[in-house]
Amino acid sequence: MKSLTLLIIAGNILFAFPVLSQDIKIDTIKSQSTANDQFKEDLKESVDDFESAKNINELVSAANRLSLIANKFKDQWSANYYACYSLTVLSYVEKEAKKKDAYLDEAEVYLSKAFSEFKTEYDEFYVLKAMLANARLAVQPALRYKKYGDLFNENTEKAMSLNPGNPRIYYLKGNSLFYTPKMFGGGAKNALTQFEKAETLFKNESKDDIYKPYWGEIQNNQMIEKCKGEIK
Amino acid sequence: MGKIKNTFKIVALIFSLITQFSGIAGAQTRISGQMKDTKNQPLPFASISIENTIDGTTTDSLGRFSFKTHEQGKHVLVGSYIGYETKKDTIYIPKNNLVHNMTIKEKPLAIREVVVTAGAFEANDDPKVAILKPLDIYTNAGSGGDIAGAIRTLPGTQAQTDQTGLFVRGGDASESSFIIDGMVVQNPFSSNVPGVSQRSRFTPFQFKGISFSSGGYSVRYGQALSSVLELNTMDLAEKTNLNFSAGVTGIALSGTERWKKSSVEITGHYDNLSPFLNLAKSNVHFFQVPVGGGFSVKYVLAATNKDLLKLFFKYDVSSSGTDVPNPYSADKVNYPNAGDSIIGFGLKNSNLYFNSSYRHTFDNLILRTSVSASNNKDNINWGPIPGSNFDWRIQWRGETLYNINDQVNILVGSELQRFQFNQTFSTFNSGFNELLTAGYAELDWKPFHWLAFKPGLRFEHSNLLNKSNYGPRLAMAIGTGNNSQISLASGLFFEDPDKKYLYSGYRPNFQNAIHYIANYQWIKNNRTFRVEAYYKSYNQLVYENLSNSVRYDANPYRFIPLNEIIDNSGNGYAKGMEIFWRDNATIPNLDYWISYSYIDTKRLYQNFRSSVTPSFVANNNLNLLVKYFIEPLQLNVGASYVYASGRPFYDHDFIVKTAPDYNDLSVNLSYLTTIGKFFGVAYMGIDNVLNRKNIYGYQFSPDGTSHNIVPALYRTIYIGFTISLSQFTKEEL
Repeated sequence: MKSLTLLIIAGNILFAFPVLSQDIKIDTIKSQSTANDQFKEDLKESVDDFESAKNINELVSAANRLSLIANKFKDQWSANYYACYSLTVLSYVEKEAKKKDAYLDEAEVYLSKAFSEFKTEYDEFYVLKAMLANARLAVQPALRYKKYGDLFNENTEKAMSLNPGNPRIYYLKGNSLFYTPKMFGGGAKNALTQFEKAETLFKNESKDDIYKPYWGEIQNNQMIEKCKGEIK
Repeated sequence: MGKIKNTFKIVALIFSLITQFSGIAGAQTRISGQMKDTKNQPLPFASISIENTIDGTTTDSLGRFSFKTHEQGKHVLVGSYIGYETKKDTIYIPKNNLVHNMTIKEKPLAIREVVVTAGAFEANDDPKVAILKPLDIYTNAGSGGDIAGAIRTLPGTQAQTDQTGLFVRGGDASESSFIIDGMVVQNPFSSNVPGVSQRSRFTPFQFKGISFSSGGYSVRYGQALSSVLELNTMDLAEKTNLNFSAGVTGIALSGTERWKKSSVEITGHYDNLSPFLNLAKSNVHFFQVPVGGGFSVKYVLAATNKDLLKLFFKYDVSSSGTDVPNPYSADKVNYPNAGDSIIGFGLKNSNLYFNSSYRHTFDNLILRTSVSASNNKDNINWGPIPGSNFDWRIQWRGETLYNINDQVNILVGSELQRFQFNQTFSTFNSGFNELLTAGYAELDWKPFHWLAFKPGLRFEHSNLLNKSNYGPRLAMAIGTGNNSQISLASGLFFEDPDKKYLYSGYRPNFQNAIHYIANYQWIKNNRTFRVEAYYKSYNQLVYENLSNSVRYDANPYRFIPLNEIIDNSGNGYAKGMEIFWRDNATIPNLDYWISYSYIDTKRLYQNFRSSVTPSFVANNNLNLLVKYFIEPLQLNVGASYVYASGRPFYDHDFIVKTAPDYNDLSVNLSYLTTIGKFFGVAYMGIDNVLNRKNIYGYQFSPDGTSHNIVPALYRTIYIGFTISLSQFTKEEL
């Protein structure tokens, strides 16, 4: 069956070509399912590149690529979702406050597109929203803790109500606690409880469908090590 | 499987055939080049791609890029980099390689709109205008958690601790108005005890925003020649919580309940200064240690996101007995039996305060209306002589803010203020009644993001004086860069004559002042620099045309003689320059600021014999403030140093003398911790660590006797703690 489909596709291409004008792109004539498979493949590859980036160079390259994908596949929630995710992560890496905010401004645009494309409630969006709030807070903690702290809590709670089994909720909570001074109820010890909860949930997650976000496990494990190091 | 592989091969073969024959999906073209900014600096990590495709790459450390594409012919090459404007170049992709360099421009991030800042210092959560945070007030060493104390660290103010109130740019305390949610507070400070500066009645926690204007303020306010301190209370409480605090001056308990659309906050306090006075040696003797207590209730309702109703009620009582220099003993004419030169000043005060405000937002219209009322009673004993002060006030304000478009806003409003003051001393009694009617309009026009105008006009009528006035005001701001601006303000400001003249039955005209202010402000990455220059002319000040043979009496409680020529023939000026620098970026966890004010001012008013610098003015005032958070210890440490050059004072012949310079070094510490569900802060503050014996001057009586004016206490130590249950807020810090 498969080979048959492929033959038909190939046939189509073959017959279609002579009448093509130069401007038409190859992508548009591929059948919908192949285009989608290609899109999914590209997206997964870029996300995995992003997650496994070993230096800032690789990280930015993968993020740039994710933005390209989102700009091209505007109607794909997942493309917008990952572009938002990668920019948010970059904002943490960036040192200059002005640029941090610029990354997050862009990330917000992608997130709202993801929201409007998906149409129904989805816990992962609220997770990302919470992460964005946390990233905003991180730019100027003293000035922003109030507004963005509340926004963070609001969105983690919302995500929790939709799917309490989402490990990223606890990973983010742990992160937030880790960077909250101990005197305000944060600290490594409190953070570790959350990271460990996330750890169990991450283990049960499948990592092959890009439409079901699975990012965070590597970072979560790193944070567990960090917490343990600090507690000692 | 094998079949599929074969099929692929076939497809690939077909493709390559097509490629060769048609030439359209030809071999990939390599596009390369370099990306630079307008300063010709290479941009690493920039993104470059062909529009609507995912063909693209990221530039290397030298801004170079190189990628392959199947695209041919006319296309758009997109270059982007965070913080830069996206650049789109039309290119023709040839079959061969293409070299295309790109230059992209830095984006003016979130265009900063200019804001009128002349004369204004803001403490709130808006980073565009805020120079202070509300929290600063509580954490400044030396301010003792007092709002006025914290404001005294800002430029334009006098580091005054022997008298109550704010002394701004050559003005006396009566020239400053204290506003809460748009309404005048008649008794913002605890009742006066001669020679002891009093704290404000309100705690800084209650406010989300504080705006201090040392001149050129909005038409919303009148009856202040010098300054307006505007405080805005919190909206809906954040969370339900419970707080308890105790210190050497008393204990306080507060509870907040937050529902979805409303919140209630109830507070209660008991004050007793005995432990505090035991820790420090005071310069005044209290025959009855100050004690007091009170409670407050606040209700906020946000029925919809377009409505906001706030109700606030507060009631406090206090009493104290202080030995003070008898202000009447030297005045044998008016007070033949005034008694000893030191006299017991007994005070019992009760104060009731109510404020309500309601705001409704329509599409492009905001309606605000407020009503406030207060009632204040002091029962006084000047030694054996009984006296009292009794005053009340009711105020109403209604205003509309009309948002015509992004550039133009119009504010139109009116207010009614009715207040009465009565005082008795022995068998004398006097009083007056005022009804002030005011209307105002102000335009806020921003033709460009770098230019703002704020012209306005205030009309006011006084029933007591039977006079009216018109006060035009104008403020503007011009952007001079993304982080800097120049702001200018000018205006005409009116105020009723001082109460002491109204008590004695005099009804002169309004006094007035004209302000001219120019300000330059630069804010970038948590660093602020401000420099401000001003000129202020005082006109129609109330002046007592006394005969030259009458000697000068510096006593602020002196009796105003009846049937004299007391009119508006006084005048004066104030000019000066102020610098402010704050930096909390250079060293992590370190925040410091420097504020310096120079003033040159002279005035002929009240019972002055010639135009001189008033005794409440030091020409040079310097404040240094440092705060440092020692993270591993969870300890905040702070210090403040205040310097004021010697103030002038006048003897009974009105000959000027100068007091020594004033110096003060204060430190504070606070330790923050969380124990289970409790969040706690323990703090300690030491004012005047070096125990310097500051002398503000000497007060002369007409007979030539004098006493020195000194602070009520030299070195003071304050210790206390606060704990919050469960969902604390950082506000409790």
